[in-house]
Amino acid sequence: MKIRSIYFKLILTSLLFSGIYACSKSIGLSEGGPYVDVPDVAIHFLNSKPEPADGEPGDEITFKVKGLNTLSGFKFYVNQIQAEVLNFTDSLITIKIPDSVSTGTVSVLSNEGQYYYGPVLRIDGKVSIDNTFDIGNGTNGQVNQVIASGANNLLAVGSFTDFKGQSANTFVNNIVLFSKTGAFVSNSAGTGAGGFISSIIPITNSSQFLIGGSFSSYNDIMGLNNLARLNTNLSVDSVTVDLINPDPVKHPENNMDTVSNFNGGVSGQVVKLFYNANKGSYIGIGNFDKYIDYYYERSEKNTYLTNITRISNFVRFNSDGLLDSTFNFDPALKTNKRVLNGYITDGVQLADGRVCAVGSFTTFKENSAPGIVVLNVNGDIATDPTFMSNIGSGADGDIYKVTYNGTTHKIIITGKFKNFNGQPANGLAVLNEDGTVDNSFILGKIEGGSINYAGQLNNGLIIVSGTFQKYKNYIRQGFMILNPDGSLANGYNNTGAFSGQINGIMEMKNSLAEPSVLIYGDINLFDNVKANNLVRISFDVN
Amino acid sequence: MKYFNRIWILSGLFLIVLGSCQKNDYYVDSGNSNAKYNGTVLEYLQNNPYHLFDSVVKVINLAGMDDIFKTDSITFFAPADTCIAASISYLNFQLAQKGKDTISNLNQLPKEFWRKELSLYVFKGLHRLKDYPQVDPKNLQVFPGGYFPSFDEKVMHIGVIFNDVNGVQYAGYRQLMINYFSGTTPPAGTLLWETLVASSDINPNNGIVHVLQYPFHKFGFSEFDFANEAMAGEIN
Repeated sequence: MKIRSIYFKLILTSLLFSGIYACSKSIGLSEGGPYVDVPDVAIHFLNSKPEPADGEPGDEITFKVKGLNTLSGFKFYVNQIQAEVLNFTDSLITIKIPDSVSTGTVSVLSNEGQYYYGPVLRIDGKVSIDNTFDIGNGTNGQVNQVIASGANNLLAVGSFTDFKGQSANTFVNNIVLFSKTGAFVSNSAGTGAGGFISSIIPITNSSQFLIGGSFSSYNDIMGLNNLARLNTNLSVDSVTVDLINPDPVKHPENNMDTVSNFNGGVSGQVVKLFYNANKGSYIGIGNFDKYIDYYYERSEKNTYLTNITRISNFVRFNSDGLLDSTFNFDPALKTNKRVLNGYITDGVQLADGRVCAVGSFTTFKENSAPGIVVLNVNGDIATDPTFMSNIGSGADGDIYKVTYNGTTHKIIITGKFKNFNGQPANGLAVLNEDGTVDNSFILGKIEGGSINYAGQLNNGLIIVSGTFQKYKNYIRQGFMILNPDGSLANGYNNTGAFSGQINGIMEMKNSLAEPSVLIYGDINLFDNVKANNLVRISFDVN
Repeated sequence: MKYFNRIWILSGLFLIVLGSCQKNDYYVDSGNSNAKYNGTVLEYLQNNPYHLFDSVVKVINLAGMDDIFKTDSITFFAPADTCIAASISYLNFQLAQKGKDTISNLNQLPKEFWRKELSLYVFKGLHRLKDYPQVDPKNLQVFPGGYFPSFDEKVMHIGVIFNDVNGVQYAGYRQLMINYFSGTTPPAGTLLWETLVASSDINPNNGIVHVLQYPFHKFGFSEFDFANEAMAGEIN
């Protein structure tokens, strides 16, 4: 009995072991497996902020850095400009802020060529990100235009589907209303525009807006053709129309439909909208060749009789969408000849009502229009003869952006051109209202990229963005503020790296009554900090 | 009664023994993958069975870097064809916005452009995962990762993420990350274009390949910079 019991226990144990080990395999991973140790970094910046945290050129600044004494030799940089090292220990380094430096990351470059980056050293200057504007995550796509809406709010249009995470609660599609402090303001835009909006303009003597862009729907209204009229609360202005219904008994719902109250549209993208005060009507410029409106009275539901008028690039209509056939249209031929031989990319309206368009075209109605054309729009469309003769040979490449300041009366163009009317321009030229080049502005040497935007403030300073890394041998990473003569504005160039494209600027006073500028566009990085297409800077006036 | 119990225990144990080796259909152990590839880095990319790198190979050719991928000792963070398609698509959108003809063939863009974009992913020498310092995107202060000049000297940010496991910080698997920054200095405290590596330490004869998690990656890291760079140069 006892022996049997021992045997039994033996069998039991062996069975147990064979069961446990039956499927164990050797795990022989190569190269140390997934849990390897990795080398430590030779240099550690210990504190997030230096001491003191900011300064001016010439100031002494101390950083806490570990490991400098282990290096055979090194150089210290502030935003890629070498700084003089006054002394260093195993955990501290004191440097002198070099001249003409801007806010940026400090770094140690070892003799072996390895960079170690540290915290941002803030350089004191007149420009800072406006802390009274709490924009958070901003928009998730580019902003094309911002206008004021009432005394306290701003209205932004563009190509985005979110604003500060609001899309979790409500739709935000290509149009958003927010306060001057950056707070989302609820509105009735619903699902918004079904495509990007390029331009928005308030309708005169009304609280409504006209929008243009590249969309075919707005909220629940379909069949739009890149133009629409919005109510104050951003809902689309709609109306119920009676229709012809072949089967009113079975389908009484086909008796009528809710459609856009603004009955007009164009066949392509609208670039800009302007108000034509002389006629009390609106001008749309863009890349289209047809004007489209619907004749609802004789239509059945969803198959609207469409009235197509051949008209290209420039169109004038009233606030209800009624086409003005005295403009850019030959009533005898019932058509217009194609006016531009290229694309419009941007446009502005001058203080006297003239319209300036820029793009990749070279002719207007077979007359020379080298990338830019200025039009008189009070009667029929016609080029401004003085302007067109003064620009001479104009731009030798495409013009992408044009800005205009009504106070300084200067037009600034930027694009992919090297000369303007025979004078070197390197992608930026300042013009007077009569088309002559403003020779008081002299553009300096640009290195590392190109300019993609320039806009002038009322005080004459010019805000410039681009992909450049240096201006006149000074490090300016994609953003700079110039004097009207083209030199760097003293004290205004303390901000750090910028990445993106500005589409526009808007001057305003912030809640502390400081002068500030809202900068909008396709902006990823501003002052070396992640930005989301909307940034407001404030100027220290002291 | 006593024996009856033992019989139950015994038969239970037999069941364990029998069941212990039963394979589950839902779990296929593919074994340890062999990091070694018998061929050049270029051949590794050309012979991918899923054709992940066909456009990448074409870009290597357009950039005139074939010989570097064949003979030089390099480390390559490999993007896939979809990354190139995504960036080209953004470039085409930008071109269309400006009224320009769009790109239909990669050879419409010049050699210098491709060289500049491709060299962001190429590093001189052999660098495996274990050669890079730790990076913690949530705590860059303590684990900053390292900054290494790529083939044409543009500095890139690379590090190894120590993942957490069962609530234990940094105890999990290690994963390579490569990050880009626009311009000459990185913004402090943020990663803007970080991309994780899906398969690291692949070892062809003349280099190391780290294949990126390609579905969300854009060639050139920033599609904005990619498009701007392309439009600043000549497009044929």
